Amino acid sequence: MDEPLTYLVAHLRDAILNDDRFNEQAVEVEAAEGRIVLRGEVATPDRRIGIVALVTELAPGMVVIDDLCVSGPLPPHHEPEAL
Amino acid sequence: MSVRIAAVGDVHVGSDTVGLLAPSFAQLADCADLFLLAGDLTRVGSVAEIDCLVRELQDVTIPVVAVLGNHDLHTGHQDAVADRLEEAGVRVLEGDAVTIDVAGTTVGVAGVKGFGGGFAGRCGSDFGEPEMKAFIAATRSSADRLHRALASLEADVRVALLHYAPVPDTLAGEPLEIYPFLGSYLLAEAIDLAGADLVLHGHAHRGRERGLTPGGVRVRNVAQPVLGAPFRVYEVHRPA
Repeated sequence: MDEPLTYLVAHLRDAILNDDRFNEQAVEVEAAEGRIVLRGEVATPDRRIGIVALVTELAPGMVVIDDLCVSGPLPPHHEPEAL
Repeated sequence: MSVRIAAVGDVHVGSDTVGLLAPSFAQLADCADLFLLAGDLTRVGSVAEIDCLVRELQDVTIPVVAVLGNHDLHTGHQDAVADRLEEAGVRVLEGDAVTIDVAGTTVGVAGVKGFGGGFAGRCGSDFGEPEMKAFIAATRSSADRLHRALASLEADVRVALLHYAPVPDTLAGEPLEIYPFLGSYLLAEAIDLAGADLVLHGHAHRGRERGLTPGGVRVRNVAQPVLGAPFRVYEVHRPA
C-alpha cells in the first residue's frame, strides 16, 4: 500500500531539515493528486536544486513542482523605525 | 537622546552562502550604533559555519551582541561556537547582559535563547510526564534568567534579545499548530516584570515584524525572511 500523503509530507520535511546540505526548516511541502509542491525561500540556487532533487528521489512517481525562491543578497533598510 | 539599533536573526550562514551578507554588514556603521543578532546564525551550529559568519562580520566596526538559536545548538558545539564568536569580538549572551556606551547613552542588552511552550491559555504546563515537565522547566528557567539579566541592567535604554518569541503577535502567518514550538508567554511575563524598551527575536520565518507584550513593550521579529533585508534599524528615543 502506498504511503499516505500526510506521512510522506512529514518525512520529506524531516529529510530536508536533516540533510546537511540544506538544514532548511522553512520549506513548505504540500502533496495532493500525484503532485508535490515546494514553497518557501532558500539562500542559494544550489540549495534550491538540491532540495528539488532530494524530494524527487524520495517520492518516486510524484511530480515535483518547484515554487521555491532564492533570497540572495538583499538591500538593507536604511530608514530606521523610530520608537 | 536616541540610539540606533540594527538587528537580524536567522541568517543561517553556511559555507555556500559566504559573501552574501558582508557587503550589507559593511554599511552598518553608517546607519546604526550597535548590531544585535537574534540567533540561528548557522544551519547546524558547527565551528566551520560560525567561521563563515565571522568572515561576514569582519568589516563591522560597531559593537555586535548575539544570542544563539536552536539551529546553533543542533550538533552540540554551542560552547565552541560562542567562544569563536567572542574571540571575534561578538558578545554572546545566555542569561546575562552587557551595557554599551553609545556617545553618552547607555544601552543595556539582556539575552537568552528562550524556548517554547506556547501562549497563555493555550500552552504546555509542568504537569504529567517528566519529559513534559522538563520541556516547560527549560522555558521557565530561561524566562527567570532573562528576568534577572534585565533587572540587573542600569542603562538609559534596555533591550531584551531572544531567539524564541515572547508573544503570538509576531507569529501571525505561521501555522497555529506550531505556536507552542515558536515561543512562550513566560518570556513576555519576565520582560514585563523587569521592564524593557524593545524586545527583538527571530525563529518565526513566516511571522510578521511588529507586536507588543501584554505590558506594552514593543516586540520586533527580526528573522531575516520576515524583514526581507540583511538587517533592520530601530531608533529608540528617550528623554534627555
